[in-house]
Amino acid sequence: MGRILALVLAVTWIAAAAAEEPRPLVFGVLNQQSPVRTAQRWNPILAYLAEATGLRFQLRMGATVQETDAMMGRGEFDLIFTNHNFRREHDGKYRVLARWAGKPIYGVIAVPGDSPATSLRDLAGKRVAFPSREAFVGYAVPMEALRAAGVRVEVVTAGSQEGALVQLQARQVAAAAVNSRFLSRFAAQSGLRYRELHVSEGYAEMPVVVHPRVPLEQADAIRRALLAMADDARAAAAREASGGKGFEPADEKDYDNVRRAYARLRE
Amino acid sequence: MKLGLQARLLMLTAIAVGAVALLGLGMLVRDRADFERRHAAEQARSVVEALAPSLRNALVVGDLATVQETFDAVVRERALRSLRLLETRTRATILEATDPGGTDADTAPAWFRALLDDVDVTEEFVVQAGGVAYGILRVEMSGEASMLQLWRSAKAFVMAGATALAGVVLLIGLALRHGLASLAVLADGAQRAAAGDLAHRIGPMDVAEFSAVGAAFDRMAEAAQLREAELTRARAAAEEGARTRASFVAAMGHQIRTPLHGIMGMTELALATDPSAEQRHYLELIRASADNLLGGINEILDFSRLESGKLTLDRVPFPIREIVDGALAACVTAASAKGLDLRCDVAPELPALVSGDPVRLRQILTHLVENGIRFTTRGGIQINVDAVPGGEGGQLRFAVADTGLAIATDKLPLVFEPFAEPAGAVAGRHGAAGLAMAISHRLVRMMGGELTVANGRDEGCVFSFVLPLPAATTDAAEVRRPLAADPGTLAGGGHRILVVEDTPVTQTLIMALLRRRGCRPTLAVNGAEAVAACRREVYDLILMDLQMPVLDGLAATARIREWEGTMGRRTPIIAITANAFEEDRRRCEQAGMDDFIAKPFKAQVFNETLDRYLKPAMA
Repeated sequence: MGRILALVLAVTWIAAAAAEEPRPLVFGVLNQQSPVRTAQRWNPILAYLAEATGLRFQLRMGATVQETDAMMGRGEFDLIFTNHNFRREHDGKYRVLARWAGKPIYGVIAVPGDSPATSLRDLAGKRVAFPSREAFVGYAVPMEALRAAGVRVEVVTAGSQEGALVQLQARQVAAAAVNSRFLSRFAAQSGLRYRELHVSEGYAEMPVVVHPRVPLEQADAIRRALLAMADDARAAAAREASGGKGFEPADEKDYDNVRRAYARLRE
Repeated sequence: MKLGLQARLLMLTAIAVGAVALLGLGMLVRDRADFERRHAAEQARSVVEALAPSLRNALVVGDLATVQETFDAVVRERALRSLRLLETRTRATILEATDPGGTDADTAPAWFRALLDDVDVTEEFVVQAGGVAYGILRVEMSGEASMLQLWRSAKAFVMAGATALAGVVLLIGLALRHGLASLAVLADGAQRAAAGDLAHRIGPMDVAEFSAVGAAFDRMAEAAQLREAELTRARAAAEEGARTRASFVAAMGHQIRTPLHGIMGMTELALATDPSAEQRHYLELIRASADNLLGGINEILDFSRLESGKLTLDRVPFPIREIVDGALAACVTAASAKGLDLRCDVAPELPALVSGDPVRLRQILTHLVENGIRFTTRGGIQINVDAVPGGEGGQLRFAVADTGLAIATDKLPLVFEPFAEPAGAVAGRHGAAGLAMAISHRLVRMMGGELTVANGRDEGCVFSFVLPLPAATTDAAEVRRPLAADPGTLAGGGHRILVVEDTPVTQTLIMALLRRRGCRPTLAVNGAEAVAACRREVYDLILMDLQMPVLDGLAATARIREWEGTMGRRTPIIAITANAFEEDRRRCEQAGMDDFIAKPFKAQVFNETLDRYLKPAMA
């Protein structure tokens, strides 16, 4: 009898504690930057979302892309900012809420301005720098273009888009594969003179996707908050920290070309 | 316990240096502790700054294993006490790494730690990114190693300081001992100077300051030596002068007394020859003048001896009443001549014998009575003697009151001034030479009293004084009695008298007086003849002068006593001399003489003295 009473009291206490402190929604972010930089960028956004929705969020990510993808695969995130969910093995587990505002991103294979190469075939057997093998626009998309052109190159993973362009500027590699937005910004800052040997089709900015276990009303509230971020005064700090405008509406079809790219890369 | 200068200086030096050293050490240690504290804080901050970036990355991704590895490595490499990651809100420890601690058993004592406060340092840093706190990094730096190092340094400093202090004290002690040795030299010099060795000199010394003192001391000793030499010379000159003056006075007394003796004696003889009325008148004038002259001479001699300090007092048992009676008796003739009464009232409770100087007491009383007689024309003189009520040690009060002239009140203090000649009634109250009152005043003071004078209630004056005259034992052998005042019946008929005298006038006078008594005198002109005469003949009495050629009276008396000792007889020997002082009387007694007659003498005194030794001749 005493044990039963103790069990009841314990359950009651746990339930009360749970009601008092609801579990925060785990918000994952794909490893595009260092964890600290990621936290500096995303924690203000999560703070805005919490204020706007009344929900609580917790930023989580793996130490590496693979680790984050594995966590996503295990369903550890309630929401995640990524496009790796469009790979075949993960596709369908999360659904799109909104995407980062901005024009489409293009995958570019650039060579120095005075490079003799005039087509992808001129890169055959040459050293080409990529941010990482996990990058979509920086690796999956350009590798697909090279494969389609029947060109095999020596892959040099520079760790980041900046690293790839630094190696190109130092003539350590014959070409570098990066996204178009970063290329133009880096060239303006560093004075890099380049030529584009290949430019891919445009790909939408990465989306925030939600796990099906998140209630719809919460998911809707989150989406509304994301879409309102561009104009909401409460999101000023988030906008400043992220350096972006906010989010735009998006749906699953916006990422079909991504799915295709992953599929081709897999083949 | 009184500490010497050296001990005090050493103790003060040790205390001062020790205190300064300890104070300095304390400040140094505290400063060092502050430095260690700041250094530890900087270390902690540097640890935080080094850890923060990687820690933020690991915490954002939730990689606690990496954090733990990092903590372990940092604690080990940076010698931290601990590194902790605390939960932001509850501060609960999420993970930690601690230093297992050293094996050094030595630790700083608690009081030392208390002095320096805590040197442990704790630094905390909130790990955050994007406005979200991921935890609190707590870095604890142990100050134990620093504390132990400070303690060891302090101990080493104290040991070294104590050794240095002991060395300093030792060196100062040696220097002081060397320097203070000069003080001993100075002290020795001062003691020798105090003992009279003014010729001793300190001389130069090693220590400049003491050498200067020594030089000053030597100059002082030299000056004192010169002054002492001058004083010695002055004292010698003064003593020589005093001796010369005393000798002069004694010689003068002798030289005056001898011819005065002739004048008085011959006058007495002339008066006894039944002169005419006119002749008797002249002779009486001569005798009065001679008496007056004799009194003056005696006063001058006494005063001179008082002034030179040569007069000494006796302390012998004597009958107080007889002395007072004797003083009155000596004045009876003078009082009777003026028709005055002499009365005496001695309190019956006084002891029969008192201890003191009877000769001087009688002299004082005689002076006072004679003074009263001189200035009283009617009435009389009264002597009262009684004990001072409650007085200790036999205090006797003497008062001599007359019915004569009073003295003006403002002149009373002048009565006892020697040679003063104040106007009016005082003038005559000084005595023959103006010294009797001054002599009496000084004698009373010598005997422990104070002679005062006051006017009587109705007339005359009252001289009074109090003397310490304690009751004496009744040993008859020691009692000095006054000369018999009773003239009695002239004795001497047929007695054989040896007169030893070298002065012709005195020879004539004495021989005449003896013949008038019916004696058979034989003359010897010096001591040698007297000794020879005594060996040839047996005499009833010997009258012996003292100053004579060939053999003086004292030596002759000694030889006669020696001869008589072998013959088994003893002849009375009476000194007759102009040496009238008390010590002369003592010398006569010591030589074996029986009595003493001072020249010049009156026939009455001469006869009274002889009467005491000559039995009346049988009819």
